[in-house]
Amino acid sequence: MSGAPPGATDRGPVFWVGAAAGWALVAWGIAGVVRHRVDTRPADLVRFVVGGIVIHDLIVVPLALVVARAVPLGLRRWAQAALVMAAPLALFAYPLVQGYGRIPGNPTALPHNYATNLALVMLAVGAVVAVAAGVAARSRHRR
Amino acid sequence: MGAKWSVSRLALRRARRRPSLAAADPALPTTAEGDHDGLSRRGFLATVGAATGALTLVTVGQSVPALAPLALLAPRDPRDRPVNRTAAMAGVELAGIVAGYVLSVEGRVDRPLRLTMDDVAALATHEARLPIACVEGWSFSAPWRGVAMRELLAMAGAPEDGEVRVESLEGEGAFRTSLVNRIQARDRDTLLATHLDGEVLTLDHGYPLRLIGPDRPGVNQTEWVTRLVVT
Repeated sequence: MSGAPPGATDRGPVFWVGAAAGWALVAWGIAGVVRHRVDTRPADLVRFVVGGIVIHDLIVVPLALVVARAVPLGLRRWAQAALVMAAPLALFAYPLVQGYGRIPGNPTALPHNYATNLALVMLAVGAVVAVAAGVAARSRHRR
Repeated sequence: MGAKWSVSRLALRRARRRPSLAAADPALPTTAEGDHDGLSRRGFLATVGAATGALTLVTVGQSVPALAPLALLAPRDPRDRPVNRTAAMAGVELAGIVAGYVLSVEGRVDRPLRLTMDDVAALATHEARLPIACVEGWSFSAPWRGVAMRELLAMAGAPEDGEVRVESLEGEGAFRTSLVNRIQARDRDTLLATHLDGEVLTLDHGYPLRLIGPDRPGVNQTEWVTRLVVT
């Protein structure tokens, strides 16, 4: 460790070479997106990237804060666990529930009722977390 | 004896691999993580692991048949024997096939063949259990029955080094033909299949004849095969 104050970063040659290489890669990627715009559809890409941030900041974070307010302190960690498990499952299921990729006349594509199944999976997540919380509370009680 | 034990144990004890934070620097707290009511770091890691496991559990059944009943969020169910492109999408119609189906074997061969559906059916005696594995991530293995490609090539007198271009009745599309390399063409399990699961192929599965062979991606298991060109 150098004697730099906490929080300061050494910006030596390695940093600047790394930064230049990184920015060059980013520029190359963006140039590729623009050059192959017929396939990459930059407008959709921007919507995806910016949309993700907007949804996270304007919907997910406020919701998480509401949950944090609503849940008693002792249960906070279990609420977090339930959300951390539920979120990627819901995100994964979103296109299936929306029916993206359904093929007319082909019952083998998206064969399930994904809204129902997502609800079942969410219930299962809730049940597992509730059981885990119960077990943890009991074992703490016994100690 | 007891003292000896305790002294030896102390002497043999390995140094703690990582000193506590407080030992490393008195300014640091005893643990890296302060008190809070949320998930601990370990708890968070365990939860992420559980989330990954859960997502795997509800999708992996689309290629692991034993777990298919749990695959609640999988886009395909291997028990359905899925297809991506239907005959209707490919512009293949049953009427056209019934009217005058012929399988021809041509190109670099001594005796070009033209086989009717009855000819093909008489030759279709070879069975193999083979997967259709889609690049999308789903797959299923099933018993197929059909004509061994190498038998057809032998009948036609194709050269040993010949590769085979398999052509479909499909009018257009990126996958209306596929190439079967020299090794695959001679594999005993590379079939032009007439049956799947002991039943005649459905039109969506490539009736009357589809290619099915080992070590080929699903899109190259060409359906509605009508011509083999040896090159």
